[in-house]
Amino acid sequence: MSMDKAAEVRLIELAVAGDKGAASDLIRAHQQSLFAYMLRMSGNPDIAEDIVQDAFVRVLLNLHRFDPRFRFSTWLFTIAKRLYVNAMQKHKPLYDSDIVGSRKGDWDEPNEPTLAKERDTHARDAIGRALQELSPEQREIILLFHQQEWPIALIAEYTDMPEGTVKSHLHRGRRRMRKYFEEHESEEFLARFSDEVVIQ
Amino acid sequence: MKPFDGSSKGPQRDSEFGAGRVPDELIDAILDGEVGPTDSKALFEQLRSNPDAAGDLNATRRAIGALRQPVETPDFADRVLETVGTKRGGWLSGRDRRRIGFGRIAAAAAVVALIGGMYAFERTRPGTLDLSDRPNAVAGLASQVSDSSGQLGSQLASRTQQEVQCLGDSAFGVVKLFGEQAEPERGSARVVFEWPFGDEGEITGSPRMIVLSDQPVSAASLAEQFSSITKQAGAAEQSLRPGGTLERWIEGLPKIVDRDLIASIGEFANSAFLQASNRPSATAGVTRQHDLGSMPVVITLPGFEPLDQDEIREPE
Repeated sequence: MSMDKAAEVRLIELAVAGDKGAASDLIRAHQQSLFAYMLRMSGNPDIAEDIVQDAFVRVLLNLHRFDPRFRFSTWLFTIAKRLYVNAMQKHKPLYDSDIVGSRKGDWDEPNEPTLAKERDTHARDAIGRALQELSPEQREIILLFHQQEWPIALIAEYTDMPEGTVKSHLHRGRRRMRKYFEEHESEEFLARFSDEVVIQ
Repeated sequence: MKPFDGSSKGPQRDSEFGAGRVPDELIDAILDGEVGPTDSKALFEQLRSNPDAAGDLNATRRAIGALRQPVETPDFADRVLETVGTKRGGWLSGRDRRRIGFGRIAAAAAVVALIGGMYAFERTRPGTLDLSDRPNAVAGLASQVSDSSGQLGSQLASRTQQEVQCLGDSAFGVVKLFGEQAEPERGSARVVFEWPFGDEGEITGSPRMIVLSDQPVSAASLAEQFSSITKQAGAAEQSLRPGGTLERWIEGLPKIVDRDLIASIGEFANSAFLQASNRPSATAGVTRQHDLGSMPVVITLPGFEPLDQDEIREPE
């Protein structure tokens, strides 16, 4: 779900004034991207869920401090990142099929897995393991750029790194991911992720 | 990522790209969305005859594609709102937000009267007129600022027959802290700070400031003063922030309404006031605090000289 900045600022104003519906809309507009990001960063759905929930709570309690000149998503991700760093001091990232692929819950897998679902599980595991190969900086920047589609300049601001350093992490991270997939996954497996023109 | 068509995001560049080996930097630039259309076309052709490089690029793109696999996401809204509601004393919704208990209004009115009295005591000097006795546009408007900036906006719009954009109508009660200054033959100014509160007496939003002056007021000056004063007030009493309660606010008044704060408000009224010129101008400003800035709205009554619109902007 995406919305233009004016609509988002209006939602924020209403939420600051105590409008529950506006606060709810604001959460639902950002929960998918933040959860996907935190899931890939942490490798653990339970940790990701805790972080996302806590981040939204903190954001809503401090919404009056938000400056609409800035991007709301950057602020939200910044708060979530602090929580992630704290959480990682307690837990190590866990890319394990028992955790990532088979977690039961109100949002997770159906009881009877199908072949397609098994493939999805395998894909999640593979993505998780590939990300695990990266340094934390590379993982963060790869996700922000390719998953969240943030521009380099914004990532540089968010991570407090020069743009050249961001690019360096991005490029090295991409090569490591590619290498991992080449060594551990089949062409057939990788081909399912390509939604682009393939040069042959 | 978009197809390999040269229209990718980010600053694009074309370079002297000739035949031969495909440098890693160029592959990176493609994936970064920084290759211009000319280079894209040339590279595309070259990769067709360079299976290794094409394979690298394809493999990397597939790895990136894997990152975009959709993730099933739980719905956080209900549990987050429940937690936040508990911490901030409930959410306001619909008409409930408009129902303000009489007792609380009375308490707020008492607070306003108390502060007004303190301020008047502090600021009154020989020769100073009571604003309410002064027959001018500001006094007339100021006397109507009885509830909220939204109400003020609507009254101003009615008077001016102009569209008046206020920063949100207050669908809840407000407590106000105000100061005023007037001098014969010079002009007058009234400054009102208001904090919105809800049904449960909880502070529900950031403070707003309303300035009524019959002289031009600089929006930048107004924002600066507002920031300074609200910082003092916020530092003095946590309950002024959203999540606090009216009861705590009242209890905290002795901490808030100290001589320094009153002096600040008085100085602000004065500074607006001292900008007095002989120009027959009347302005009203409304700001809302965001910690890092405020958004002034300045309204000019018909028949008076308007402020320079360039001044009506957020401070740098």
